[in-house]
Amino acid sequence: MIAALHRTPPAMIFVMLALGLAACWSAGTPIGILAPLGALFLYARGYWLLSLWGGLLVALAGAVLAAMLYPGAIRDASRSLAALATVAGCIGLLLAPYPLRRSSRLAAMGRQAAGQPDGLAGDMDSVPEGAVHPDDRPAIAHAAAYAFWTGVPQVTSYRLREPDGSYRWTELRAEPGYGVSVDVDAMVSRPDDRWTVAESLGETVQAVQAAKVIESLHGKAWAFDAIGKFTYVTPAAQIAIDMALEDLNRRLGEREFIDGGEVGWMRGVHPDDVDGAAATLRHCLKTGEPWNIEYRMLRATGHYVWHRISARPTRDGEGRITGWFGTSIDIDVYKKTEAALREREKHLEQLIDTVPAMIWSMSAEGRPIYLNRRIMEVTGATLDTVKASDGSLSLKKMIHPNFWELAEKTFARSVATGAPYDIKYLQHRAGGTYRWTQTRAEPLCDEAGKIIRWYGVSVDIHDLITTQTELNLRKQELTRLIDLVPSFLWRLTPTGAPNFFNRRFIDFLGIDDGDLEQSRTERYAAALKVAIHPDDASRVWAEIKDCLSSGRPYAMRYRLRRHDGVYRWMDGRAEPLLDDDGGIIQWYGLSHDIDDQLRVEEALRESEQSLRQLVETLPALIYCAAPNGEPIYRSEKLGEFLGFGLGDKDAEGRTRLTGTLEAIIHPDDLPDVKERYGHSLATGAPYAMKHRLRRADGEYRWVETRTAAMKNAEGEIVQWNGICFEIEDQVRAQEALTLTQERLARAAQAASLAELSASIAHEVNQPLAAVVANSHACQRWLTSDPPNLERAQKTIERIIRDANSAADVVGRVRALFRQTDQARNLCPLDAILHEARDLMMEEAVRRRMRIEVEVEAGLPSLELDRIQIQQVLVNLIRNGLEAMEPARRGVLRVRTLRAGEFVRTEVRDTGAGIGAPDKVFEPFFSTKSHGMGMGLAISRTIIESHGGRLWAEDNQPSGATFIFTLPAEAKADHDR
Amino acid sequence: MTKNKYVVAVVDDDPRLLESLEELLESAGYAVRSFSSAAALTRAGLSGLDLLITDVGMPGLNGFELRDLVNQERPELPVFLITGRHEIAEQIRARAVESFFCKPFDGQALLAAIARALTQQGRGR
Repeated sequence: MIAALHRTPPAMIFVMLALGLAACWSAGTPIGILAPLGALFLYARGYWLLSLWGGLLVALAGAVLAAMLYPGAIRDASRSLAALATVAGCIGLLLAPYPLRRSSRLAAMGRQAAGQPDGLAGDMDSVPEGAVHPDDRPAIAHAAAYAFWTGVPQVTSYRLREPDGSYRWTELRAEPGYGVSVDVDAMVSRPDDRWTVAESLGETVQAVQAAKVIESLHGKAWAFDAIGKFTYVTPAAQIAIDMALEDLNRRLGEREFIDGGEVGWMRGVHPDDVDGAAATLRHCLKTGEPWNIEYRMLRATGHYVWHRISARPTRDGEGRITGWFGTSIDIDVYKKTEAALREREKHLEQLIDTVPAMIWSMSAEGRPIYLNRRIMEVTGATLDTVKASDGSLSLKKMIHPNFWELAEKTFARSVATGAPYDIKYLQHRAGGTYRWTQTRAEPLCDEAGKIIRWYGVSVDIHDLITTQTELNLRKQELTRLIDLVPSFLWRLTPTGAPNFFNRRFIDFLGIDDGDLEQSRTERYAAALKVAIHPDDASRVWAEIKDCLSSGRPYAMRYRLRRHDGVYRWMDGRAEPLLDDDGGIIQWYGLSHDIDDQLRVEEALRESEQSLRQLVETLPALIYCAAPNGEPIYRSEKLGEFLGFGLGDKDAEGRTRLTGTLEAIIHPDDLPDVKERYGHSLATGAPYAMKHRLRRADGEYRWVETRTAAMKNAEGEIVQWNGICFEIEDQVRAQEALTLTQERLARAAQAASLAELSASIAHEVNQPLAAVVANSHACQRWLTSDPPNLERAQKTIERIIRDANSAADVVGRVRALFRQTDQARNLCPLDAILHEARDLMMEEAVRRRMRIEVEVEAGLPSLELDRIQIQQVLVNLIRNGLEAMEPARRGVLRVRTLRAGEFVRTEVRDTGAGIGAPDKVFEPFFSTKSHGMGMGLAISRTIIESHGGRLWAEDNQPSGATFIFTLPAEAKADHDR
Repeated sequence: MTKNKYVVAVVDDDPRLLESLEELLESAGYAVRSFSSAAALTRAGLSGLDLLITDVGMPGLNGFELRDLVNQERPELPVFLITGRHEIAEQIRARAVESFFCKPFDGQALLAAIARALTQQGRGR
């Protein structure tokens, strides 16, 4: 009972606590607490013990402090508590030395046992031989042996002699000589456990002796007689299964064990194992065969534990079985270890099978032994397919034929030399394809360096290889590109140090690659520094510095010295490459040699400038138009003249051309200009026209415009180029000239008429003067005294003669205006009409008037005096223009049409009209301030001499029409 | 009477005028010498002439030239000009020349002018 309490400290503490509290309650003092405190001191170890001591000290200190500080009841209570704590501390001190010593000794033994698996004797030696009670020495030895064999720690109680000669129970924990990776329960035996020995050994003396020999070796053994009745069992074994000999041998049925009956020990066997165990034992008992079996035994702790059991018979001189001796060893450790190992192996296998790597192994001779699941799944290979008929490795079905030779050679060398195996090849895949795979293998060697096994792993590096290949190709391509690109590419660090120039740039600058003393950056920087043209250097460096600090892209033109010393213009550009945070990683730049381009541009610019200057300085207004006539260019002079830009007259609903024309052309000229310009645009024919152009100040100026199409090689019109001369002065001069001419003509006309009249007068005057003089003479002769009749007669005769002479003169004057029909020919009237129109065009233009001619088609040619009819038309047209003069504008319409047997020509003006349509034809009738008034009279005479009529009519609402007819059929007026 | 007769020379390329003037002058009692041109007069000479009447428009020397010529030789000799050209006549008349007549001229006025001229000359003689 006491021993049981000692073995279960919680129970002891509980009992002490209960008794202590009961004492406290019954006695009314806290003295009872000393009992559980003593128990705590007995059992507490390590941290708990320190806490206990700490608690006591705190309580003592607290009580003393309280006693000092507080008077009265509190001081009394504190004094009582301090006394209690002091007594408890004394109990603790009394109890402490013993357990402390014991713990340290046991720990030392444990350590020794662990360090010296073969030194169990030494184990015991560490405990002074004489200190252990003689009766307990075998039990300790057995426990150590059992622990050694089974790997299960054994806890045994034994008596240790104290210095005073008395014995005190203590415990020994025998550890196995090695650590196990599974948990096992220590087997505990106590001196007060129940075990028994047989009262009589009977025939089993020999068997018991053998059992004891075994026991000395193994720690546990037993013996039973020929029918299976135990006569000896190692006490520790009895304790372990909590069965004494009586319990083991107790018959539980009517039959003896050997006859199939059940006995006590069978209750301690696992139900699954018990039948097998009993049956085999019965069989052995009957036959004498050795009994070897494993089954689970029920421990006192309630656990079934695997045991390996062996039993051998002992025989007498006659060979009869006298008994059996045997041992049972706890193999639970091994069973558990085995299971754990199996679990671990399975785990490893799963690991190997599930890692995404293709793993294999082969023997030292190079025979495949193992392929993991993945390699089989991926490659479709099995152990069989990678083996040749003799079991050696065959890669024929595993890798691409191109690599057979290489792989086998590498493999053979590795197997022969033990060198690690590393090769890349195209490996077969389950799908029938080949993929780049890297296979590595290393040998596992034993301690002697002999190869035991090869372990290999194959890694699919296809993507890596193809990516690398692709990357290499790209890189090569890029390098080639960078070097081939006809530009200079470079790269700067964020601080502006050049760390890359492409080949062309290096060649351009003539940088020597061979100079390895300087770093590349230094060489590049130095080359660049001297290459920039001195005139550009400060500008360039300033710009680069600015760009580097601000991060803005760089763009500049500057001169760089080529290796041969020639400076070339460059167009340099650079942009920073930024990281995600916006920091500059590198600057990438490009310099393009634009020297030739610049020269060409320069030449072009000069050429263009020269042409432009030519165009702009030409004393003419120049313009260009698109094929559809839209204005696309104007020379400065023209722009200044017009006072607006190309697009200024753009408006909704009409083209730029229309807008421009309407803005710049005089309204009177616009229809003509539109018609003729349209005609040119449609046909591509050159255009030439004189018209009025609106100047910026609003004044219309006369210009002559000429436009011609510029055509491309295919003959398509590319552009219209036009030139416009200001002819205002010319027109004015022309007008002035015409006016002068007209005046002159009038004067000449007047002069000739005056001359004519003078000569007529002279002609008439001569005879008239003679008549007058003679008349006076005659009068004198007749009035003289005497009248001289003779002379008078003679004088009168002369008067008659001279008067007749005067009449003759008049007759001759008449004859002067008489027409002849000798000049008459067949003429088309429309031709004469157009001639007359052209003759008068200038005058019409000067008067800002237009002449419209309309001739009916198919008119016959007429027999007429071309000059005379022309005179008539000119006369009528001029009259019409003059009649419209006050309005300063208008249209004179001339129309010719067939009218029965006549061809009728009308000249219609929009003037004031005529008051007396018939009178105008009378000679010397004139409504004009100057002029003889002979024109219409002569015209009528001419028309009538052609057999036609000339008359005038007034128009409604204004103006007059002069109409003349001419006979359609040639009918000469021979009467006249 | 005959002795006292004034001699008047007439120069005109128109024979009808010559005849009619000769008729008129003779009817007034003058002796008339007719010449069909200035050249004819100069060939005949100016002596014995008391007065000269000449047409302006003539082939060869015209009337003005003849007058200038006569004025050089015989400044005192009165010279009468007659013309059929009114514009010339108007020019002359604007200068108030009395010895100038337009065709057809008034015979009476001519004779009166001649008489006046000869009287002045005679007084001066």
